[in-house]
Amino acid sequence: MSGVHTQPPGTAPRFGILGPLQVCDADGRPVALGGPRARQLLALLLLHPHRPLSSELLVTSMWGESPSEGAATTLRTHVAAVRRVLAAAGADGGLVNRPGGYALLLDRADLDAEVFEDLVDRAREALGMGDPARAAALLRDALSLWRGEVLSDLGPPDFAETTVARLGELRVVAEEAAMAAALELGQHREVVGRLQELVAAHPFHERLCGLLVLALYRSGRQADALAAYATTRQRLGDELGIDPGPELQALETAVLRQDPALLLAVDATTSSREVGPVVPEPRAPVARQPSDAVFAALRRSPMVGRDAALATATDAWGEVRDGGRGLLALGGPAGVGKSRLAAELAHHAARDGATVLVGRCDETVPYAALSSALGGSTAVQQLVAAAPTGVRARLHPLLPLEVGSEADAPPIADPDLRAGLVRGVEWLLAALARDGPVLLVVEDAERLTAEESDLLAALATRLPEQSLVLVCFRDPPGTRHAPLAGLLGRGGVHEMTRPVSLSALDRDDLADLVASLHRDGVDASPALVEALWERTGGNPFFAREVLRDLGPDDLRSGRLGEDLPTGLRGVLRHRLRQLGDETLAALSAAAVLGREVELARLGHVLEEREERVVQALERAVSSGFLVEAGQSWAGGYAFQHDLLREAVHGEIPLPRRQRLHQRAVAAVLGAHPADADVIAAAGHAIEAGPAADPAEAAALVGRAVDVAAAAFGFDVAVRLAEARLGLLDRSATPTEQAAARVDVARLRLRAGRGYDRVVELLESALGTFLACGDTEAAGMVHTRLGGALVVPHAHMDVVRALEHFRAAERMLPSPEDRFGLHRGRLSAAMHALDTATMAAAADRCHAIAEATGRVEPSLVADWGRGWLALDLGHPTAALAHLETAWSAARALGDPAAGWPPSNAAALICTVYLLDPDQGRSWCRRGLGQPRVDRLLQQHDALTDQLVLALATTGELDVAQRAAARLPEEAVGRRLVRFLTGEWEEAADQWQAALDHDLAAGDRHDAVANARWLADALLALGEDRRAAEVLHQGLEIVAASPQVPSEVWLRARLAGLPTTPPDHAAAHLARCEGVLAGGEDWRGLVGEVALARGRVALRDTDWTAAEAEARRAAEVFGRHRVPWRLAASLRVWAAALEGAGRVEGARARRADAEDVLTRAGAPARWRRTSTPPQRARTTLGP
Amino acid sequence: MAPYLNTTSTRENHTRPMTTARPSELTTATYDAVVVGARCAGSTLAARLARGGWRVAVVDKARFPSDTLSTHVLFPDGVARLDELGALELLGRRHHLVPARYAWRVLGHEVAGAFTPVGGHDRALSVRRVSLDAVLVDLAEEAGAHVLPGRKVTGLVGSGVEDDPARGVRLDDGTELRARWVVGADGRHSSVARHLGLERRDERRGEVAMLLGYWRGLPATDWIRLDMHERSALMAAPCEDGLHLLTVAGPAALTRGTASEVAARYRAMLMEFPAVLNPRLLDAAELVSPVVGAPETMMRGYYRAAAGPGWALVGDAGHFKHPTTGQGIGDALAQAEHVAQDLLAGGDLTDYEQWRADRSGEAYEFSFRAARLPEPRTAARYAGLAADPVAGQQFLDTFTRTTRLADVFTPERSARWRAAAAYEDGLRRLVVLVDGLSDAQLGTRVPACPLWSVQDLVAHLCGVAEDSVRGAFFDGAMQAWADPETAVRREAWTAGQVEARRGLDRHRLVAELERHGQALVRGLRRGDRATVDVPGWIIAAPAADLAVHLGDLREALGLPPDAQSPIARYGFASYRSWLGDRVSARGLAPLRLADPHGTAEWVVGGPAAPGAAVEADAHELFRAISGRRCLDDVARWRWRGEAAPYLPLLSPYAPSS
Repeated sequence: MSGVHTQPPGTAPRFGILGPLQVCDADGRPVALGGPRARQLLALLLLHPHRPLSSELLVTSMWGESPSEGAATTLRTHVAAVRRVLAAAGADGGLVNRPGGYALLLDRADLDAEVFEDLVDRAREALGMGDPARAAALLRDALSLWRGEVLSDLGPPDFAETTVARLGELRVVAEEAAMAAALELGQHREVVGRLQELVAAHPFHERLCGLLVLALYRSGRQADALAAYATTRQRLGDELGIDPGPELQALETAVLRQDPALLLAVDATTSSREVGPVVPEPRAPVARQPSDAVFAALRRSPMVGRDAALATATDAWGEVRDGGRGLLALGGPAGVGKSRLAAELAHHAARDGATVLVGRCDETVPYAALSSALGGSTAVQQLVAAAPTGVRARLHPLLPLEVGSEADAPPIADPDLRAGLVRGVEWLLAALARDGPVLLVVEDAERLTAEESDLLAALATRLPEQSLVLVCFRDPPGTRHAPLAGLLGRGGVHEMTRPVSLSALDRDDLADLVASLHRDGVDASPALVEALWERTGGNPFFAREVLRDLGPDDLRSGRLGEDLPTGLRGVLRHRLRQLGDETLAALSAAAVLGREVELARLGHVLEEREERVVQALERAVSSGFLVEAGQSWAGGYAFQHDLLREAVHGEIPLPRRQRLHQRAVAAVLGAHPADADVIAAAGHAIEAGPAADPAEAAALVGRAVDVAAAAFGFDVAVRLAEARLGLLDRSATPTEQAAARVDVARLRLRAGRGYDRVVELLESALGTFLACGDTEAAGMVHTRLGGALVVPHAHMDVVRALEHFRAAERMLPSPEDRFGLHRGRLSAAMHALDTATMAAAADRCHAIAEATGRVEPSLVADWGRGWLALDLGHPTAALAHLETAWSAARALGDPAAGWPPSNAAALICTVYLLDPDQGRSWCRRGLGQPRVDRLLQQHDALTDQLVLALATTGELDVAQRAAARLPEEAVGRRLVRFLTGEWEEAADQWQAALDHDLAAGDRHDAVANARWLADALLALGEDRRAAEVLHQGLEIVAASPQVPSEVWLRARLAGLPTTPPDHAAAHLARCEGVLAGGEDWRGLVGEVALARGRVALRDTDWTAAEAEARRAAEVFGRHRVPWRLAASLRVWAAALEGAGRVEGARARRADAEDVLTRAGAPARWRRTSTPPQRARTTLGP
Repeated sequence: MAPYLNTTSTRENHTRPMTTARPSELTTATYDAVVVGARCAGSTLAARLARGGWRVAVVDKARFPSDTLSTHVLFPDGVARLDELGALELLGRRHHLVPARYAWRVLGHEVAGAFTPVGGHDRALSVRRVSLDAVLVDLAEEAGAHVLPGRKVTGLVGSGVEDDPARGVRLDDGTELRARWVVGADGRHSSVARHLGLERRDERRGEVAMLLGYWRGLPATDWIRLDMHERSALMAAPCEDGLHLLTVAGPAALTRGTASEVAARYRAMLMEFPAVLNPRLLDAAELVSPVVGAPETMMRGYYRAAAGPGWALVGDAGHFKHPTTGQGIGDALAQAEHVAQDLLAGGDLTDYEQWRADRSGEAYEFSFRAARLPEPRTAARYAGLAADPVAGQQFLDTFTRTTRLADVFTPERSARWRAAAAYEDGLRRLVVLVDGLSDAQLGTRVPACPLWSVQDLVAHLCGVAEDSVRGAFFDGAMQAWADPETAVRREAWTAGQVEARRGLDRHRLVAELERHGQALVRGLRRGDRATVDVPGWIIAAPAADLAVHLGDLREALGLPPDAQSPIARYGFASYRSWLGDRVSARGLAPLRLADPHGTAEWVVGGPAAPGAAVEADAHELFRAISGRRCLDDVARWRWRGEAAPYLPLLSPYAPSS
């Protein structure tokens, strides 16, 4: 190395840590370094030169948190060894005893790391002043000091991670600056190779990538430049899940459009721009970059939701810059973004040409913040070098720079010397402030020492103009940390302090953060933001870490990975390691217990007295894992957010975690467990795995299932019940297991969750019972299986259900008394349109109700009789039966019982009687039952009915919104699809549904689907296929009666132009017969009238056609079925046209348009609505 | 008494005029009874007597409403008495009351819940005396008693002996109130007692002093909670009208110092009970009273004579228990009821003292036991109470005097709970030990059980716990020393336990150990079937076995003995008692075991004079009598008397060489 810029020629650094530890004497001969411990100690001292390090700190750094008893003595031996090494190197007396411990006093020029830092600082200054050549030379010198990784011979440097990381970061910064300087000098071709190496080594370093892109572009390799950008973008996306930052993206755009600005810098060699060549910003005074590498790194991440805080900070800064002075207290929990904000302010200040001093507090080091802030600044060094001797002497405790002064610093306890120290710093700040504003950042102030608090307090009241002190601290424990509270609360200081408190982001800010990290068209779902908020409590650091692990798919779907992000795990693991064993144990127990834990329970789990627990958790609170919490009488703790809990939980070795969960069972149950406690205890019993007795755990979980189900907490109940099966597999007999499976199936049936799983569970139980020859139990399961297969859902199978019922009848003693059997058969018969069986089964249910006095069988009997009456053509009686069933269900107060009658009545009104208003009112009754929303399937079914009714009355947008929440196979979704104009899709789906129904023996649903399918086909103009489907439906209802559908099908057929007139007449006659039966058929009357109208049109009987169409319109208008009203109006219009009353026809057509428009029907409905030409052509001559 | 009843006018006639009467008019007034003191005991007694038709005067130096220092808890029996009196209704009309459940927590073990109902009441009440006493005074007045507030009693008429019965009192203004009965209900410093010259007897003292303060702004709760730590205790009670009484108790020095020092101490101590009082809640709450100290000296217990010719004492005047157990008001109400019934029935209170002694004897002792700071040993019994719901409920019901303490702490339960505590301690030590072992250490041979490795021994302990829970502890264990065949069967039993767990890794082994061990502890505490109605040794055996084997393990692993641990002490005690059984079974004179430092000695084998003595360190003695020391070596220890007859008995399986 040339060395010309730093020190007298020939004086090589005598102490080297940028590589293997190295000590050379004045002649450059290496000195023997002694044993590994001595080397480690020397390395520690070299990593923190000039500052006293306490023996305690040294011991823990070298031997870990729990050193052996003799460690302190051993330390003294090693100190002696180090002193020998120093002597051999010619630095006798370099290691001194200070009040705070041992301090290594070296000339900055004697330690390679410090020489390196100074060189880099000066190089960056040179770059800033537009002297890239000088910068490049300085940086070359600086980088040549590196002989390998920091202290590479001492193994992984656990004892000094932060310093090592800082040096490493600074090395990259230096490399980057060197490359930038070379680019400024027009050496783009030369640096491409080195830049490629660097980018490969630091793939996520966007500025290096930017430099490479620029270098390639300037070398005329535009394609390679874009490829380099693409590679980095790919890696950022694949490995971090983020996109390149705006600078880099802008660079790519500039390359693509061959922006001349990219080359400009080459010509204007005087330009002193740093890389970002795209967005030039004005810079009036000479801006200085805050030298703190941490801040530089922080500023690369976006800052979100801190507008108000930043405004306060910049306002304060503005005042200071304009001649004011003050103190800013910035507090908030760990990871909330204090340092990020401080970095932003520092950046601001640097742009204003301020001197930025950054220091960090450390309770083990006297005056750590001030000495690191002052010691880290070249400007300060220079000032001090030029300062009067008296000032230098006063500053000695902070800046022990002068080698050769008396070895031991004066005792700081002396008040005069303290006052002198204050005056010294005051002098220094004033001197700095003469050149421009000063920002002093004190980080980690929750670790402020009492002495430094006093010093800062004295200093604050004497701050020179144009200076601002920014005190950043973690809170908790900051505001409770006595020295800090003492500083901020002191008279005189308090008045000039502006507090800024950062709290977690709210949901909106979090959404912004997500957006800022993921540009490029990927919209994060609101569910993701919500989940993120739940998990991280809005803490931006943690949120960012979680997001980093997410891909675009996750973003869209709103999934958060189960696993903790790796980066976070590392950070948290590191923080966990710093807690003592006892704290870690207590924290583990807390993590096992949950996000919020009561102290008494913790004590129980830990088998410790609460005083001990409180003591142990004190550190967990001060390191930000926990906060003291609770509005209840018992004190408690809460994890700041779920992630922290998950991190801690994940770090507990599995067997120990299981044992903790086992203890948690007893702790949570306590003497007076609430329902929630029972459920929580059950969760712990499950988590305990082999540590719990499976039988006991199963009993507890069973109790929790009951508790949860009784409170309609079905999700929890089902989850627990399923987990219980696993426990029973380990402890119970096969028949007990089978019985438990039946219980889970029943629970799922009641809760309306997972019918596939119900069938699976029941089939498994059936196998067990059959294998052990328990025919009665098997018969019961057959019954339940049959019942499960005829609950309306996607997997209905009437055929198989009937087989199960037959099997049940064979196996069960006195099958005639089995309510479940007859209920199942009734339901199966209802779907099979088997009226004889319906009647018989309903009678059986009724008889059982009579015999036992139970409400449920009578309710089921009335339900069955309702459908029977409808099928046979007695709608009034049908609704009366359902009304009876409904009253009985209401008396039971169970929404599961109220569902079948309300659901049936709604369907009957909407679909079979074309009276959607009544249908809606039944839906309202069903959905208005308390807690019906907890029954998933049932609630969906009622919502489905509501969608049908809403869509039928023409409230299409409401229906659409309601339908969106339903599963894909919901009937209402198909109808909405049809009505919103997706006829082809609707037809396909109805066809599929029809096929499925026929295969499953569900004739009831088949008829309904045939009706809808026919309508879709008619809309599509496929009249022939429609006719086939209508005939198919008619065949079904001819074999097994369903009078309302028969009327509907016949009316449609009669109205079809392709139907032969005699057939049409026969259909109409049958319809008339039904309508004449004295029942109120509501909207269905309109369908028959409309059919008659169409037939009359065909017969060119315009008067009759008009009369029938008017009648149909009147009926559909009254029952609010706009779709059919519009159809009626068009037939009416056709009749008027036929009669030559064109004006009237136009008016009716306009009415039809109007009706459809108001129903929100899409254009397709209005366009293809039987245009006049088509009416005429079908009418024939 | 009859003449009075006949001649006294009805209460309507004199209630209102008499209370406003001037002193000179009172000078001539004659009563059936004069009650000195108008608080809980006095006013209720006056009310009851007046309702019975008696002419009653009540004198008190205070004017009501007036507060007095008290922890003022009323248990359901007391609440029922207030209810019966009509006071509860009146109290409820004037104040918002909080009927509360009760939680008694000692060293982390909690017994909590409602009480078995007494007169329909299953909750306790905490009402400040300023509220309660005012209601009771009004009640007495309403019943027709003449209440004379703000008057001091300066002397008695009559000296209260057979020849000169008490016949009335003299007031500070010279008025004389003549009465057939003078009742002192005037508290600890009873002037009636002083004038009668009654001494305190059977005195007791506790260890603790108390600091009390009322708070507003704490969240509502229906729990009265008492939490005792080793050096301090807290009682948090929701009182009427949203107030809370937070009382701390601690060593006598608590009340010393200036008012501000005491207040600071009080606030600091409130932070020490986070399990029942979340310190954060205090930030939002306000202390609405001065901090009042109750020094230890103020809470010393005593009896005074209960009654004599023409006089009686009720409430604290006659008998004072420590306020920790909150029995004072309830007792005062009960005594007032008893005395009123007796007097109205024409009795002369001759049985009153005996009744009082029968009723309060046990509670008196217990109140002062509870007023000592708990020793760690106490934890065993409260852990038992906390684990056994039946015993826990019984314990709560001792506060309403519907259950006797002797029925709660039966010898049978105590034995189980002691065994459970010892076993729990041992289990914890064992788990910690095993958790930290390397695989090599697990494979180490155990010299005391030569066939077993450390892992095998742990497996055996696991098996003992599991079998004990099932009630399958080897039933011949006690005979094995005398019967080789039984000993062989015993070997087979233990070998089975080891075999069943071969191949388990350390974590599974520890998990099993914890599972079965904890089940055993639970069973012992709750009194599960396997631990009830079994010979005493079955209760003790698993813990004693564990104690011996822990010693084996420590020996095998080269760890120092742990003789002072609860488990080791329990094990030693059990083995001593079994050795005693063997000694008596052989018909030998008792044997004295002594520690060479003279710090402890134990005589086993009966109460008679020892026939021999052997001296050794406690740990060595335990190892010897549990068969871990070679008899030849034991014979060389310092014996006094003949060793030979005892040596074969000393340990059932001692290695012969």
